[in-house]
Amino acid sequence: MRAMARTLASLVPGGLVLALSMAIAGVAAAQDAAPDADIAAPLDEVSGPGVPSVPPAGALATPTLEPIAVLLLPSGDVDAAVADALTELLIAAVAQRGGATIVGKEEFQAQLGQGDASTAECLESITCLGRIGVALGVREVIAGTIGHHGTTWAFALNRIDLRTGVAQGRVFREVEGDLGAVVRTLPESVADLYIETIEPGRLVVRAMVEGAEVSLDGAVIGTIVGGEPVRRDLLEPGHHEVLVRAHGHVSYRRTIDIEAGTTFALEAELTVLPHHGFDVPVVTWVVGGIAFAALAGAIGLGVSSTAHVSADATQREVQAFYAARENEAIAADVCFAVAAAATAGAVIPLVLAALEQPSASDGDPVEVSVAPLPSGALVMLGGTFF
Amino acid sequence: MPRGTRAFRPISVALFALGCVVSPPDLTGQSYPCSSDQDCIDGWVCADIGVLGHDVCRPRCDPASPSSACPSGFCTSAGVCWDTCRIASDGALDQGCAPGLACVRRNGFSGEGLCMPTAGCTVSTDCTEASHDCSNEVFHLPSSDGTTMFSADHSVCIATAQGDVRDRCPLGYFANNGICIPSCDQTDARCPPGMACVKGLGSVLGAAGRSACLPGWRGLPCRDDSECYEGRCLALANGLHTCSFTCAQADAAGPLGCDILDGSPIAGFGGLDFECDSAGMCSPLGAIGAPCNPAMPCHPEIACLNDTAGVCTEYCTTRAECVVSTVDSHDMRENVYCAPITSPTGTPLFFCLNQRPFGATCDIGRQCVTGRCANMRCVFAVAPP
Repeated sequence: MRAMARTLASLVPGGLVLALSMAIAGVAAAQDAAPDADIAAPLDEVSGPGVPSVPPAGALATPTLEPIAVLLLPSGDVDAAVADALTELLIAAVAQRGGATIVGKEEFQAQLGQGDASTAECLESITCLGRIGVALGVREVIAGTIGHHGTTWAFALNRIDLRTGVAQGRVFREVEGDLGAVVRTLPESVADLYIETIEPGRLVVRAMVEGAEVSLDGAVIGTIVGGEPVRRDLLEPGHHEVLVRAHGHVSYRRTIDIEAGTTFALEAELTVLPHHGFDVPVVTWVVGGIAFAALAGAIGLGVSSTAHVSADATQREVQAFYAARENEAIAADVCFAVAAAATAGAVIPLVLAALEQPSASDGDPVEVSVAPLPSGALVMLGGTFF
Repeated sequence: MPRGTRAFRPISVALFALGCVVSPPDLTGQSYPCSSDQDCIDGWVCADIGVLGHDVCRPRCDPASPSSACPSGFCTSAGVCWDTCRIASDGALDQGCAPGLACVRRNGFSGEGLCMPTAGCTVSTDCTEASHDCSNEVFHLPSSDGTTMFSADHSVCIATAQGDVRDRCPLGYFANNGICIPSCDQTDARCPPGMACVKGLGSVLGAAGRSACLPGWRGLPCRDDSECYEGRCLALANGLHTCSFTCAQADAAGPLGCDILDGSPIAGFGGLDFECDSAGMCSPLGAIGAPCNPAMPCHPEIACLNDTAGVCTEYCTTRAECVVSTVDSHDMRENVYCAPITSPTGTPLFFCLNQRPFGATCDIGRQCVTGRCANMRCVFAVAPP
C-alpha cells in the first residue's frame, strides 16, 4: 500500500498530492491493522495503475472475487491528476469492502482506447459498458465524476451492474472546503453505493368465480368482479398468505413468496363444494311459518288472558270479562300446542334433510336450537341454506 | 342423537310450563255494584239497599220458598238473598260476615242480622264517612248494654242533617226535626234492615210526597221480617202485613192480650190500637192522630186525612167529637183535642188530633197531654212530686 502511495505521489505534484498520499496511506494503514484476515485479503488484491497485481496467497485466492472497475473522471476545471488520485482513493475504499478485485481507470481506458471524454460517453452507453465489461471480465463498474466550483466540490458515483445495465447504487455529494474535505468524504460515500434498496413486490390474483373474495394476510383486499383480477402493489417481499373464498366453493388458501420487485400472479382455482348446505324443505317453511304464527298468537292471547278487569266493572261484566280471558287462555294453549306440533313438523323434515346430505368439511353447519322463554319458546335456525 | 331429536326436549318442557290458566275472581264472594238486574250474573239480582250505598248484586231467591235458593241466608220479599249474621247479647258476633260486609241488626229483640255492604256502627263515632251518624243514635234507640232484652247495636250509618237549622239532607233523605230521615219513595224502595217504610208520612212532616224509613216498631207496615225491628212481619186478616205479634204471643205475655201492644210507634203521633184479628194476629188500627195510609188503616170510625198519606182524624167542632169510643185504650181515646188548622184558602178548619206527650213541641197547652205548653214544649202544669 505504501508503494501505491508513492505512485500517487509521482502523479500528483505538490501539497495536494502529499495530502492524497497521506490519506491513502491512512486507509492502507487501517487495512494493515485489521485483525480480520478476510477483510485484509481484498486490500492485498487491489490492483491498479502502477500497482503490480499480487497473486492472492493461500485461502485468499477464491473464485468468489469478482473484478470491479473503478474510475473517477474529472469534470470542469478539475485537474485530471487530482481525479486520478481520487480514483485511487476510491479504489482503496472499494477494496476495503472486500470480495472483489479492482480494475483501475487506466485498464478501463486501455480497453476503450480513448481518454476521459470518451470514457464519460461510454459510461452513458450500456452497450459500451457491456463491451468493456466483457473485455475486462468485470461484473460492475463504479464510475463517477468530480467537479469543482469555487469552494464547493461535487462528485457523483454510480455503481452499475454491467449484466443488467441497472445502476444499483448512486451517490452524489457536495463538499464544502478544500480537497482534503473531498478526500475525507469520498471513501465514506462508497458505503452508500452498496446500500441495498428493496423493491416492493406485486400480487395479482385471478379467479374464475365471480364475487370471489380475496384476502391477503387476513385482510380482504378485493373481490373478483367482471373477471378482473385483484391487484395489490407495493407489497413487502417475503411470505404472504392468500385466501380466496367464494360462496359455495372450497376456499383457496396458499402461502406465497413474493420477491422484491417482482409480480406474483396467482390463479386461484375454486372448486364447487359438493353438497354444501341443503335445501330447506318447503314443508319446513310452510309449517314453520304456521308454528311461528301460532306461537305469536299464543303469546298474544296468553298475555291478553292475564288482563285485569276494571275496578268499577259490574258483576256481569266481570263474568263476561273473565270468560273471555278464559277463552283466550284456552286459545293460547291451543296455539301453543299447534306451535309445538308445527315446530316438530317443521324441524323433523329439516333434520331429515340435513341428515340425508353429507356434511361439507368446509361449509357452515346448519344448527337448530330451541330455547324456552318465560312466555314462549324461541326456535333458532342457523347456517347456510340454498 | 340427532340434533332434531335433542331439540324436542326443551320444546316439551316449555309447552308444559306455558299452559295458560285464568283464575277468575269469586263472583259470589264480593259485592259488585249494579244499576239493574242486567248488571248481575244469571241467578242474581240487583239488590236495592237504599241510602246505605250503591245497589249490589245478590243471589235471587223465592220468598215463597226461601230455603230453596237462600238456604243459609235471608230471602227478602223482593227475592234478594242476604247472608245472615248473629249478634250476641253483649254485642259480639256469634256469626260474622264475609270481608267487606257489615253485620246489621234487623231486630232489636233477637240477635238476627243481615250482612250488608255498608258501614256498620254501634255509636256515631264508628261512622268514618263525613256527616254521618249511627242510626240508633239518630232515632234515639239504646245501644246494647247486655242487660236488657232490647238492643240497637250493629246499626248503620246515615246522613246527618246539615245547615244552620239542620234542614238539609243529601239525596235519599228528607229532613225533619233536625235529622235526616231515609226515604223510601219508590214503590220497591228498601229501607235499611230493621226499618219499615211508612208511605206518605212526609206529608205530615213537612215533606209532602215523601215516604219515611223508620225503625220497624210494631204496627208499622212491612214486607218481610227484615223490616221489623220489633216482632215479625205478619200477614193480617185484612190482607196487610204488619210488624206485630201473634195473639198467642200477646196472650202469653199477659192478660191484656194484644192490648199490651197499644201505643204510638212514632213519637208525637197518635197511637195504634191493637186487636186480635181473625187470623190470630195482633192487628193495629190507627187512633186519632196516628199516621195512616193504605197499609196503616185507621179505626173504622176515623178517617185517614188525605186518604193515602196522613193521620187518622175527623172534622170536629168540639173535643168531644174526637173521643172515639171504640178505641179501647184510655189514653189514646182520651188524649185528643180539636185543633184549628188554617186551610190554604184561609178558611179555618178543625180536626181531631192526639195530644202530645211531655216534652214534645207545642204551640198551645191543649196540644199537650200535660195541658201546658211553655217555651214551645209540653210541660207539666204543676211540678210533679
